[in-house]
Amino acid sequence: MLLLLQTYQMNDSVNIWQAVRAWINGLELGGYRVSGPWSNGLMLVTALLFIFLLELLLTLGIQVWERRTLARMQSRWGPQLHGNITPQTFRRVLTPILILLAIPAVLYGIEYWSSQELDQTRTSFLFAAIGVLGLAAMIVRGLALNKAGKQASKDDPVFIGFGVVLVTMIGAYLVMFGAGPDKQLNINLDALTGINSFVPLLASLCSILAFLIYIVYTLGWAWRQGLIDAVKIFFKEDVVPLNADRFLFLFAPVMVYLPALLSWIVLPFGVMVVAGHYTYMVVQDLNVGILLIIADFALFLVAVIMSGYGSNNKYALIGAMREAAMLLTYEIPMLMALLCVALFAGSLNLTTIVEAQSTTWAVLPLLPAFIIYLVVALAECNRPPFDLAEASNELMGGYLVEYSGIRFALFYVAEYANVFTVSALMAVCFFGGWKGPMFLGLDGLWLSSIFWMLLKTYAIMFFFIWARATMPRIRIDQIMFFSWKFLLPISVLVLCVTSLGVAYRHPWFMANRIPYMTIDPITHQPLTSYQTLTTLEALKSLTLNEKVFFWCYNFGLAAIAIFILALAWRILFGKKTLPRERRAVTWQPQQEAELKLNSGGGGQ
Amino acid sequence: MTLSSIRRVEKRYDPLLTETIVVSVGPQHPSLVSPVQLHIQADGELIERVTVEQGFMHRGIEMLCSQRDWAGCAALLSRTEWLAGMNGHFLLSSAIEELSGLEVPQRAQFLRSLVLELGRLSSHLYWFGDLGLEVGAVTPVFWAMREREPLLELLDMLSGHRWHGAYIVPGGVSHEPPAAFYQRLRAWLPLMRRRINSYEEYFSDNAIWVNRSELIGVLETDYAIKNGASGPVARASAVDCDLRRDAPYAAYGELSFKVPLGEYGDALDRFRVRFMEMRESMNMVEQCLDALAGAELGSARLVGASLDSPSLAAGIQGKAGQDPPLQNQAGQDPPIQIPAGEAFVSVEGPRGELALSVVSDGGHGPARVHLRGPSMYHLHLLDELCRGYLLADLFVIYASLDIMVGEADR
Repeated sequence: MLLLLQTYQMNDSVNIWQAVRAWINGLELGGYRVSGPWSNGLMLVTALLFIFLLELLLTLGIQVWERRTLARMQSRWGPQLHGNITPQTFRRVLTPILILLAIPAVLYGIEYWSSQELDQTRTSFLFAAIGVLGLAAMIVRGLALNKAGKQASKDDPVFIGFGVVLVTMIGAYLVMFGAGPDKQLNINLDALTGINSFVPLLASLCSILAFLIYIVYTLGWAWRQGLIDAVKIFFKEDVVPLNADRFLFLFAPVMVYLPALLSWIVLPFGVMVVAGHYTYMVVQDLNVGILLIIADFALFLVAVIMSGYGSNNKYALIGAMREAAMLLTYEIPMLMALLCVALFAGSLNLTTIVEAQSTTWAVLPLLPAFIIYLVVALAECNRPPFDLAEASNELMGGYLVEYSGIRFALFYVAEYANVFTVSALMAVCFFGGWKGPMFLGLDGLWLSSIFWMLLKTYAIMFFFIWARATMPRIRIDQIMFFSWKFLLPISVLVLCVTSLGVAYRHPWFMANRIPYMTIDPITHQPLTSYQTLTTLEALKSLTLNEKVFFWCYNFGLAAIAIFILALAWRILFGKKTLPRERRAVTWQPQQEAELKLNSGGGGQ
Repeated sequence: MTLSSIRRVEKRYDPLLTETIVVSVGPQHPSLVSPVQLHIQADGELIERVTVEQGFMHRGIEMLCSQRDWAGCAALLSRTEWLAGMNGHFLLSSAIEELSGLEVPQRAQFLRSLVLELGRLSSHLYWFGDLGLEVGAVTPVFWAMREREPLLELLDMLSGHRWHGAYIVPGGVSHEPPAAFYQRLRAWLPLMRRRINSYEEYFSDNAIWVNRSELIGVLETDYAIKNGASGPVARASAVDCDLRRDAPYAAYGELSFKVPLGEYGDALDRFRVRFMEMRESMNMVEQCLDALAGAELGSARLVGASLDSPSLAAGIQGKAGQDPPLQNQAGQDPPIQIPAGEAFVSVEGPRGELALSVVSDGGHGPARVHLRGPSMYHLHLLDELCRGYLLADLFVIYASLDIMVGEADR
């Protein structure tokens, strides 16, 4: 925003809309070039769009994924009453809106069709028209069925229209971003800001609505549950308990929600070609991206303590105490695991980390660090089996117990946003981020890279939900024990092993991406450059010290690997015994004196 | 690992003069299926004392029973411990048989044992699902309900009611089950055997569960005997008691089964004992089915020949539908009249020893009824079991005791 004002003030002759367009498009305007990370408008808009879509998915979609969550939300927000958005209201309210939207679309479409100036526009209008027609057919059919009091089946021929409309969304977006059948290899930035963008946006809107209608008329109204809950929670009473610390209590949900979103600034979602240059789709390409995310997790802890202390509730206090102890404990192994990645890539920058995994995903050379991160990630976002801070069976939600309405929802969305952050960070750091077969070519680079990134992220999120359905909950002292006495030493060991491997340019730890240190002849500063070699070539390029180290290290690693394999063999195929020894039953009477000593205490 | 390493924390020297808090759990709490209030005095998360406040579910069933006729009394008794409702019917039926000197046909005895074991399975399956929820595992409850559903359908087929079917009546059982019942039960058993194994492995192979239950809530043998623990809770503490073996009723004298015993009396032992009991129950059901398939048990005519009291015979036969019912002027069945006297019967329920003491004055209903249930005793073990453990352990201990508050409050 500052940048925008700056542009505006420097050029008095430029009106505000030109400035906005310049800001978004990154054009040169009145001798002033808007530069920096915000200059790429497409990147920014795409990032915002995806953040919005992800947010929508997180708030609405995930509730349906987890039936237990749904039940819990219902119990919190009251039962779902019939009649919030009935088919009748749907018909009365949404149909006029759709018609109003369709009229200008047709008008603009006719205008551009007749002028035939822009092929892109014509194509996208075609898609939009098909979408509107399909939508209209579905609405007519749905109204008829609704009037007859019937429920449509999935085999109803009119719902072929759904497929057509779905195609329009993809088609319109492809046209909008310049991947249409008739196009040249550039991206029409006007399509985003000019009137041309209206048609594809309308087409996509129609397709989304058509999707909703399809779901409603075929699956019944079960799907609206998540949507309606999200709407309804805004209108729920916001209860502040008596004697609560009002400021802390009311501010904590905001504090918990902000860092969850803040982390997404540095997450790279993909790469695209803008004016012949590769550009990362990241809102702010920070050099210390990992640090920012870890700092955000620490902020989350602050918010949880605020809510637990401010609620004036014993359950909340106990939950916040557990959370504080747990997060403090688990930040350290997490940092160690991520440091391994930073050593591997030579940077804390997330885009650089992704680029470093061009040949091999970091999960292979850094497998122990990955396993540590996997465990810690579960603890970091309070997912089972580490969900004891909000243990619903013991503490009835822990620090959430006094919250209601939208404040409760903010906590809830923040939890899932954290899950997304942690999963995306795992995808970026260990699974190569957006790297994958770019099946759409150079034009669709942005789409295919986002596809791979989201696919990896959601696969990891699936693991999180899977773990929830599988694991019982751990007790707080066991968690402490596990982290301080097991995870922390192991993670330090892993960090040592990795850093030595990186320092001595072990090809395995560098994923055959061998660094060279040179001195810049002009500035006399050290420069690091990387070269991807085969293992044999990499070995040849090592110095004598490094070669000696390489072979010693390999023997050590082989010994560790054999030990771990033997352990795994024993666990998997060994003789199963109970974890405790058998014992003859010799019971001794309870010592009454000791009992009295125990029970007599207690602060009065 | 020996008993001396049981984690019992002494009261520490406290230079900061920190206060203990009293956390109130219940009567409405997600972990407590039925309402009971626990006042937990805790030092941080360390439990120092648990005070149980009960009575939220008091319905005055004993008093109500003395105001109802015999049939109404049976319905009320089956609703004290509703997860195995047939125990109530069995108790009252055997009390009436003891009072009026009825003899139950052999075939009916086997059918009674069969139904009682099905009730035990149903109750234990419910406990297994609840246990998963208490430790934060959501999936076991879906498994438990899935396995319980065919069982309840079988009971429904038998008596027309899924939970409180009045299948066991004075003098036998109400009627011969349909042939489809036997077939479906036989088809269900091997499936259930396989699944029970996998369910037990889910817990016993899980390091998290073993760590959370091992040597947690240790109930020592002496303490168990002194405080009236019974059933799986007592057996997990190595008290070798089982009414089915020690004082056989129904057909249990002719069935062969083992009484599983625990060693340590901790939550893990109670868990293991219940799973072993489920296996034994399935063995017993199979034995009953085999015996019922044989011809030597007599005809399917279960009630009738040896009834002394004419009014009892008329009432029961009217209910069994063998003779046209004798109706009074209001068009109702005449209430059964039982000879005056006192009877004491007891049964090994899924949670422990259920005993019924009945006084009859020869009227249409009992003059006084007293029920002895295990949950009352187990509920008051909580204070002893939870001291020195953490708050999270309380719920594991509570689940492992398998307390039914409705039966404790009555």
